[in-house]
Amino acid sequence: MLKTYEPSSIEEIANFLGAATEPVVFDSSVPSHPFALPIKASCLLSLKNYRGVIEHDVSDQVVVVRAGTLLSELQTELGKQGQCLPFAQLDPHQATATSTFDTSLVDAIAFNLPHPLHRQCGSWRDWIIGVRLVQSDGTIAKCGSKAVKNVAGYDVQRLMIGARNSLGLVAEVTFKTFPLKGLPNSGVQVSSDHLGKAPTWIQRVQPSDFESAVQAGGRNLTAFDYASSTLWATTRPNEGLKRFPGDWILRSNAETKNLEFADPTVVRLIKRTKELFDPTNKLNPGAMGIV
Amino acid sequence: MSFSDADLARKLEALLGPEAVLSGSAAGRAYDCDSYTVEKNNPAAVVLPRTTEEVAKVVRWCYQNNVPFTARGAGTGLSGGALPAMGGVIISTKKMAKILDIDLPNRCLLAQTGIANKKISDAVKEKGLYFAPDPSSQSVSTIGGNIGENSGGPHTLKYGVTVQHILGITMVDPTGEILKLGGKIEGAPGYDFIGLIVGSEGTLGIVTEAWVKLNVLPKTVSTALIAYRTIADATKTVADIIAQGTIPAALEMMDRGILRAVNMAFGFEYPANTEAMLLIECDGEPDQVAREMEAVQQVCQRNKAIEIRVAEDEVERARLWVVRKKGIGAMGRIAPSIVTHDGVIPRSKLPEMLEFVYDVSFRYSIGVANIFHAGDGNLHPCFYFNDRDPNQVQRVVEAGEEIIRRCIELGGSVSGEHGIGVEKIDLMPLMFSPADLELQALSKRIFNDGMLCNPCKVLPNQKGCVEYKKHWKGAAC
Repeated sequence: MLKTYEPSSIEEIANFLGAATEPVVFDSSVPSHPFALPIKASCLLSLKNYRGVIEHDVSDQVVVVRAGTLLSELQTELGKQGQCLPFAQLDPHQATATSTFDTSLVDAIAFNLPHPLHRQCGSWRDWIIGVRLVQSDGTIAKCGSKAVKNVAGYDVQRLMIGARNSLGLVAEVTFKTFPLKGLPNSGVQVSSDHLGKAPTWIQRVQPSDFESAVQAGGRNLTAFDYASSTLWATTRPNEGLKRFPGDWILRSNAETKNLEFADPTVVRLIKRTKELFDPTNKLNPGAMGIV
Repeated sequence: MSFSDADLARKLEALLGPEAVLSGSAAGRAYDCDSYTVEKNNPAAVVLPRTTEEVAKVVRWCYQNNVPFTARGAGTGLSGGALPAMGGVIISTKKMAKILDIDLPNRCLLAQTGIANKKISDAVKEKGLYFAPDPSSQSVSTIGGNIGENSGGPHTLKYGVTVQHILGITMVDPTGEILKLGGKIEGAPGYDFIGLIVGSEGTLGIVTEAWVKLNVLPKTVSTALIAYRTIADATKTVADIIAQGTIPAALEMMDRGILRAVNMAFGFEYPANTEAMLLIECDGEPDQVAREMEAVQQVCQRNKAIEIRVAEDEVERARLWVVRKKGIGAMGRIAPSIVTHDGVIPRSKLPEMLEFVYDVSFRYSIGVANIFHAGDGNLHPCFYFNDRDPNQVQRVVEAGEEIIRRCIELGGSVSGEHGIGVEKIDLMPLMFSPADLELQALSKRIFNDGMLCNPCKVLPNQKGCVEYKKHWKGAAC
């Protein structure tokens, strides 16, 4: 049974993490994010009470928001001012078929999943210009700024995007927002074979391999996006789609195979980074699949 | 370091051959700084490797013999990133300028990092493609330097900075090991090491090859030059254009000081009583460009533009860009010395910030002209002065610091695209707390746990730098 903590300020988060002696998982890790790896921990820290917009500078198109906020809540707030984060405004079938379900910002940033407007509008790595995070020892530190263009210092916030909160807990995020007007349409195509079914396999290939990949995916595909050469599919846990040179995949039903790194250089660097940022291995231990 | 300079050069010659090593006082002086010339320090030797393996050989040797080393591209950096702060070896990428692979179907290109930025675009222009980041120095500045500084340029407002265009890299780490990171497909799961390395000013290793993204050349480009009677009208236009939802490809501003200089140097004409001009460019599909330009012009008129010139053809477009592209050069012709700052502010603060810049210039009795990326809120106040007068130099330094402090107070940054290097290292604590800086130091240690790879840059108060700082601090005066 997980002990659950639901702090409502960044100081409470910091106090909790600083004092924690046992491994901690974060936010909607229970039930776990579909694309997560199994994590063994005894404490859960949820950000569900740490929500809301802190500051929205409409004319500068910059918003600072608490990371427990739901993506849909943020979009509603931004929409009142004609702004948004550039996700496609998908119908529920498309959202399900591409796994772009509503989630807390902390989870969305942690997993950095592909979305249907990636090619046209970039990803979390492009929209986040600053972060306040809580480190494993409870230290609160910030990186980046509120300026849309900034090269001062090391871009540590980039390291946190897609890091599954294994290096620190992203608690507050500064985004540059986009005008709703002129948001491009997504070119994503949804298969009618699996309406209402979420994908268990996400794959991105080189554009030159995309048509072969779509053919190979066949009736397993839930959706595909020509612009970013991304495929979403349902697969059995012990089966997968055809692989292509240089491609990458994410899985949601294959337990320890949900995330795998084959390149020894990457494995070594991930280990080294984790040891530096979380020396006692208490933040989402095993989240990157490398022990 | 236990070698004399001559010894060290001989050792390097033994590694790469005599033709790949420069040493002696002339070489030392030629490589003692980049385009930030206020601080200088001689390297013991300069090496000119041709391949990743040769770079690795040199770095491994430096690592084993405790010799500092600093990578250098074209030397156009504006913050001292290529200054050999502890002496040692300059590793120049001058002879690493080959394109190694062009993958047209996947719109990417692999090049050695000593290649000039513009050469990449030139190589694929006929295929309708280009490399989007366009720092003003792009005809000479190298892709390696652009990666080091995470360079921007006038078109980053729409197309993003260098980091958004780098897919994969080969890097020699500070111990001499060759690392390959990323590839040709973006968005891969895992920690974003490339995102950390781009913009790390050559302090995490030496990037020797890179897969870069190629963009499709826009079908239509429309450029307008707009004149205003007051600075406030121009800055208000900038904020209004972005606020109403149009993101032009470029949105640049020049004030009267710049216009006067371009007029004197190149005969550029502009309406009488003009205090500021905006250069606005929209690109893309023809009907979209027409719509955007229409919207932009309406905003300009609402804000009391006194003249709107829209380029009719390529020749006129190039002519309109002269005022932006040659502005700094023109300043250089009329003043003995210029220093350009690089602070960033939220763009809605442009009106009050520019007023502040003029006020500082008045209080310190130093001339200032402004030419900058208004759409990003990235200022480039350009002070002109005589660098042989120590009193003027001192006033320029103090005026610059006052401006940067104000940028931070307004929620901005000490640098938008030129980097920290050694120039702004002492300003970092204005923007970051000790805990913030420790977090950055932690991320540096992933790749660089020592003091050899481009030492004494980016992070203030590094152990071992204080003694050396005396050598180069203020060396130009």
